[in-house]
Amino acid sequence: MRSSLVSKSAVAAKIKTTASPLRAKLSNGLQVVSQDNGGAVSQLILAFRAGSRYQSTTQQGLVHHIRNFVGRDVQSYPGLQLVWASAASGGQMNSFASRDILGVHMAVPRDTAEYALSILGQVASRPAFKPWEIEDVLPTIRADLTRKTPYGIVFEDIHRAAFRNDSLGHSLYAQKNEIGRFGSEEMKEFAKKHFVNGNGVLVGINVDSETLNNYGEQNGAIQDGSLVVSHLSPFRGGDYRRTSPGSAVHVIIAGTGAQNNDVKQLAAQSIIAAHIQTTVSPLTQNILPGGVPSGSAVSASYDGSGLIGIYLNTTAAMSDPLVRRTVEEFRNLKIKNLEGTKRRAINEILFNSQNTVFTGFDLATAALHKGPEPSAIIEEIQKIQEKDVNGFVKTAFERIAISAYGNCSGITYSDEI
Amino acid sequence: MANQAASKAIQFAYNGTIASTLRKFAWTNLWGGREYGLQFHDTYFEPAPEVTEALRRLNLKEPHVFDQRKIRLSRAHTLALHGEKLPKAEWTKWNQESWYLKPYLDEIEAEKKARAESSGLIPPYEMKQH
Repeated sequence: MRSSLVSKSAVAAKIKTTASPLRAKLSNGLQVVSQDNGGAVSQLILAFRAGSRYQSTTQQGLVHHIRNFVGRDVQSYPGLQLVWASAASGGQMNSFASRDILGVHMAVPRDTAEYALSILGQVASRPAFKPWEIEDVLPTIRADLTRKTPYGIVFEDIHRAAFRNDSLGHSLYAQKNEIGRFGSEEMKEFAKKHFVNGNGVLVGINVDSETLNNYGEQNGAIQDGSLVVSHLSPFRGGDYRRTSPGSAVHVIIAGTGAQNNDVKQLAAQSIIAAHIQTTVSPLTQNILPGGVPSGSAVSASYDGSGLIGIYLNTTAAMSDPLVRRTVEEFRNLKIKNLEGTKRRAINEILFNSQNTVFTGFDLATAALHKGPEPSAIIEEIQKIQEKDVNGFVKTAFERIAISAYGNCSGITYSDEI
Repeated sequence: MANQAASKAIQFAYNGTIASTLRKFAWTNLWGGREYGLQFHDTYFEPAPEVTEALRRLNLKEPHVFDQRKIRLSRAHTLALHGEKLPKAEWTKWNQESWYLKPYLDEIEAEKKARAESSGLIPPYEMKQH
């Protein structure tokens, strides 16, 4: 009995909480974030404020082209050599983009992390966009468009509905008629403006912070330049519908969400998302007597604005009453068990922090927009009161946005609710 | 140096005095394109895959240079058809010679080397059926 008690406490002592990230801003303007969990696989990310919101109105689809160009020739090296070298050192390389950031992510074993960093710097910040490679990249863009899911489609559409003509309404994907519209010069200009030190962040998980800082200071790859300011894109609300045959409809209903640098709002948003997210949540039980066929929370935060809402997949006949009841439920949101919801929200953050890839993306976004660390959000969630949540809900669902894909002839418009 | 090409960006493997003198001698006396107003790379063996690819890339990146090449070749072919040559004053001069395909050819050779050292995969341009 005694020995088991001793061993239990010994085990408990060995479990340490996730290390907190170390942030630094180097003299050349590049931000560096490192977090060493002691794991064997390093996640390296080099990201810039170059997401789809930074496209001009005539450049729709540009970020999709640039994202698919990662892995091709860079200015000083052939692309094949870099990709092969990263694979030979055990790495995987992906490019990613959100509405705020665009970057390259590499997962490598810890002992080849230094070598991989040198590859990452070249691949992410010095693409050459050679004119003869464009025709090899365009089929990959077409392939991306064939892999869209209905959820992905309504998710892009909710931004068009909520943010209308502003920059956050720009899609991450190029439309079919936009493929091949961009020449080498236009892409090079975008890269020259955005892929610079003052506009970027280097994130390393399970890497020495000294290695990262040395690379950040001494690499000749990333050019010098200043931060690119984003245009305001407030939540406006509205509708966007795509009709398609069938009896089902996919709907997202969303309200104004948290900005990604406001810790109080982010905490309130994660609590509301946790309230919406549970399979048999009080919310879904109230909406219709039989409950909702399927639904999940939609939560996104960007620089200056955000979205919080629900994704529903329902039949056309049920769609209108469902949407009306959901909006009514949102506007009169009452969380019965606040403590339980808080714990669910904190668990969600902790589960995500166990995934080093997600952590890397979150750290990159937070560093580039002066956002809070996960531990700060958890602290804020613990402190939050019911009145804070009610205050957030009141402003969030004043105006709503609805996007629908499928048989949407029955669904009411957002200004009629 | 007088023997080096006008474009300073073009560097050959051997650039010393002997090599560049030999190059100039060969270009002036052993090549027959000067009297037709051609550049050396106008007469490069086009069917070779490397040269075909270099010309495709030239057209994509510097279409005006490609167009001028076409004009020179058209003029030269017309002259040869009539059995004529240009007057000596209009022959290509050494300082007008630009080795315009060299950067593209160098890049293609570097890509071949990188391919051989890595995956060995055949590039798309060599797989296309012509």
